Amino acid sequence: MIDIKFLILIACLLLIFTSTALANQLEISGSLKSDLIVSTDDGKLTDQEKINLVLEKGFGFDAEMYVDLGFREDYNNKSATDINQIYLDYYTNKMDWRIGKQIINWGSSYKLQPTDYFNPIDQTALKPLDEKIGVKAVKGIYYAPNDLEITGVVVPSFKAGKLSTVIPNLIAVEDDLKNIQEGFKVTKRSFRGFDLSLSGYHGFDQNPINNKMNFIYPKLNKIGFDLIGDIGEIGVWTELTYALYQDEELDNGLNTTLGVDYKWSNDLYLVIQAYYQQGRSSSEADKKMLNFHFDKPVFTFHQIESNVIYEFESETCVLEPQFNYSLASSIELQIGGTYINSSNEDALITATFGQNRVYTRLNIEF
Amino acid sequence: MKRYLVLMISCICVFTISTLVSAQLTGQEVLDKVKISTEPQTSYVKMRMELYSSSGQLRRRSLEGYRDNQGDDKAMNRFLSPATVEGTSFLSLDKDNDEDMYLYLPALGSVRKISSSQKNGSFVGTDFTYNDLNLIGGGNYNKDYDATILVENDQEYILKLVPTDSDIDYKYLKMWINKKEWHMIKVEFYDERGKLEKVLTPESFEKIAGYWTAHKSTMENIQEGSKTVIYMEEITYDKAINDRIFTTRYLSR
Repeated sequence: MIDIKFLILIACLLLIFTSTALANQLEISGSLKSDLIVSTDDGKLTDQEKINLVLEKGFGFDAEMYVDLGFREDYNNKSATDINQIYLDYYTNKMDWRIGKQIINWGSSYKLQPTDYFNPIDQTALKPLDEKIGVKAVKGIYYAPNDLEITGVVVPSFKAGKLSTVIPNLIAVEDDLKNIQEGFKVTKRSFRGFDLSLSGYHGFDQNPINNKMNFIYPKLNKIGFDLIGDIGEIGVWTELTYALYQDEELDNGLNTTLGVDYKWSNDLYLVIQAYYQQGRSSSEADKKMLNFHFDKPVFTFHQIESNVIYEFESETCVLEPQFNYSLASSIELQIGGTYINSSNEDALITATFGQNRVYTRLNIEF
Repeated sequence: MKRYLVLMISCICVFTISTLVSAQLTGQEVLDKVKISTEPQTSYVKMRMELYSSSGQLRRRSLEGYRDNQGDDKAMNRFLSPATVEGTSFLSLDKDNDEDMYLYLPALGSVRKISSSQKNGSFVGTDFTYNDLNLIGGGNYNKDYDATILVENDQEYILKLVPTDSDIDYKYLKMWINKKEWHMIKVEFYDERGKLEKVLTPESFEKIAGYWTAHKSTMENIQEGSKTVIYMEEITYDKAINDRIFTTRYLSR
């Protein structure tokens, strides 16, 4: 339950920002998510409330400020306040700059994106692959002639993902100038119906690895390629990265996806994607996964959807069905579940998706 | 004298027949006339949408759209409300009969190229597909269909439109054209099995900047029982639109 202090805080913030908004034309939007989760493994019932408040302020046509505040309270009445994103956009004739805590979405694949180098995911979230964590960064995009875009990113400090399980002896990456991360991407749009990108990254692997009794985030360089377009009416994409580890004991390797999507005239939307990642050491197996997604509107305003991920090595299947019931404009009740069937409880995919559960989520957007 | 009379009558006959033949328009020429009468070179419109489910539930949406029909067709649509879709934007660039479509979702924060199969799907939950929007938005739809005249009377033409663009899933369309003002008054959409699927009824016509414009357009899905009503609330025609609006860069701003 939300305690009274938390509610007062929200009310005060809304009051302050509403009055400020009237004076300065500050745009306020956001969402309220109320989750009720039942673990089907142990029958434990938990609830969680999350409020997102997004404040946007334009400074003429040249600059914009964006703040995304998150307030979360869980079943233990433990509340937390986060700044999910806070950045300044500055536009010049040929360049767009974004400075501050932000989410940098790279890659065309469906949810599992090898060239998405910068933002870690929150494994404790209800939908881990949808919850990226913001990183402090400077991003610049130069728009060159002939539909060419050149993007550069600098991330001064490494941000690790929120893990669902505690990893013993996990060594954090120090906040040090030598641990700065950099990336670039060159994108060519509309090249014979395809968008092509070539990218490079210098930084750390988001997934820790066991190294001499300790878990570390290994330092690496990556080169990547990304292509999206359509063949006939079928959407196709592929992403490919090659990781070069600085630690010679680790194996350099390939990480790739290949996917297709199609939407029928009855609005059934289907995605099929294959994922492959080479093992990073002799003790780590290659990861081969198949990813399916479908969604379809029912009775005009409601929707059914499902994700299925199958991991071949651990023979793990993750099923995420969901029904979205639209109660009114911008108010939705989501009823869904996560079902994990695995022959290996220690598989990384099991840790990522957590536990078997059913949930309801009331989602109000304003 | 008799020879002159025969010659004169023959000339009059030839002239009358040739005039009659030239007055008989083909289906494509009728579409071209509709295009001249309704399609501006550029347009900016603000639209209000009402979506009705088969059980009568109502949802409202509003969006703005820019379109440039000079040379290659370019269109950009952005949702203004409600909060669930606010900021969602679509960019469509037609180059040499190849259409590139981009979608920007604020939640993702990135621009994504979308496949052409999406053009036959619902336009963000409405009864319109992306392709259908060309019919009411002044799009260059006449090149996507082969038109023949089914019926002609004093008031109207009834055309049969067969898609020539393989991306359009309808078997054919039946279009009623007002012969006096050269705008459509009704369109029936027949699905791949040849069954009536949807009916579009534009109404409340007004001539704006020389172009006939329907202030209200209703798309009724006969098979599903749902309907979408679009009201044109703000219309600006033939005013220069900055080309930067039709870029992936602008889509995310």
